[in-house]
Amino acid sequence: MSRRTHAVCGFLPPHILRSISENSDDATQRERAHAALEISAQVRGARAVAEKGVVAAEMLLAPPPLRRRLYDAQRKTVLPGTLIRSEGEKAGADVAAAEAYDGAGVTFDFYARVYGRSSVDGRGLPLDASVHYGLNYGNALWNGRQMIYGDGDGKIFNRFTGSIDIIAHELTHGVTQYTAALVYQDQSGALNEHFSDVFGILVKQYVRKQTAAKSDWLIGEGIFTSAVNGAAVRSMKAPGSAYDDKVVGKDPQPGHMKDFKKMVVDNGGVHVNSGIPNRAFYLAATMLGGNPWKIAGRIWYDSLTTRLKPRATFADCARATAEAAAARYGAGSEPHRAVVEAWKEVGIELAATAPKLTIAADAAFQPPIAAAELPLLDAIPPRRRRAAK
Amino acid sequence: MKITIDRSGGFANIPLHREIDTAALSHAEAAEIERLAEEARKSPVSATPMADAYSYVITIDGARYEMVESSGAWVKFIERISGSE
Repeated sequence: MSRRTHAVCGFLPPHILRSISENSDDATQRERAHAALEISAQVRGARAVAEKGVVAAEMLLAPPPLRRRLYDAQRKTVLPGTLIRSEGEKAGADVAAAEAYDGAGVTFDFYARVYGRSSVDGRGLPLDASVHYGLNYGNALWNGRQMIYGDGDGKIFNRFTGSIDIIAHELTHGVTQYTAALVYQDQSGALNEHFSDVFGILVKQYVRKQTAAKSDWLIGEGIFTSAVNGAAVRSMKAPGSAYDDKVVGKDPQPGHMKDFKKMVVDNGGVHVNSGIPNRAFYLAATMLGGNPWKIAGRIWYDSLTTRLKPRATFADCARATAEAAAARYGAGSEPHRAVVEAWKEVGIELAATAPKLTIAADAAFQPPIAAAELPLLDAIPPRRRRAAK
Repeated sequence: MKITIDRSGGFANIPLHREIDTAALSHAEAAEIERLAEEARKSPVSATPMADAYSYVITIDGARYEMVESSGAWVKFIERISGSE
């Protein structure tokens, strides 16, 4: 938890950083300068506090503040568009903008509270989003630096901000970019999609306080208009069953390796074959029961952030999640066995490649204290918060 | 002018296919689409992959263009052709 104490700050004086953060033409440079300013402000604050003999641990461990910026692309494709809302400002009448703002906040909060991650880059990157992108644009995307949401055409698609898991899905593309950097093609691309669906559904479950059994496991629920015969865009529980419509077509997702689709379009079927690992996640989370973000989600988060390489295959992901489960909960633990079994059910056998189990199996399984249950800055009594400042 | 557009990808991955032969259209409509096509062909394309972006394969009288999302004059051209049934 010491990621906020990186000494990246002492180099440029704050007034120069401030000037860069406000005036540079380069958005990345502006962001870096802004982040450096914040870190140096924290360190200066911490120093002052330390001089008074007060422990400043909370301060240094505190996640960086959430900084959202909402833009209106005004149905054009020029980014980012007009700034319509900055962090802390009141919502206007624009429903899509309010949904994008709130959804980014919930997703930021989820990553911070559940996994201790500060924003998509782990260093408090401001979350920028443009709504009303393009004309009848039936899509949402992460372009490497911001979220983009279309209004839909009203015939097939509703607006893309209407589904919290879509917002979390897009932001998770950012998390993946800064961690495993899964190449957006073929199996590694399908894994990139898979992780976005995993954390998309987890944020939805987290918001609804749902267990694995209560969740609908649907991605993009409600994004189709009532004219389309489909509940959602994807089903993690039953890939291939989300929609079947005469205009839109049928959900093409497989849920088992025997039905893996080799294809050229869609970057080699990244939105198609992701059904296979999606179902493996659903199975693991369901076998473990309870709130999926606590154990299954933690295993997948560990895998994404520390165990996968850019060209990872499904088999690599199966191995990584099994190893992550063994590392965190013990080899032969219930989570470890559930992960191995889940991949086996979708046609990926780990037995031959599994690491030798040296720790006694069946050690009484105890869920660890989830990060969510640790005290947060918000939860620290006001008196101590004041003292820390 | 013969035009095809094939779109794949995007968050929902609903494919789009359009085929147009402007010879079959009214004079005014044909002129409008041909003008948009000529403008588009002069516009640069980007193939940089982006998560959930649309991938397009477009042909105009046999010349093939591949792009990720659309920019410049391609935007209006694609919107015009996509909107036609």
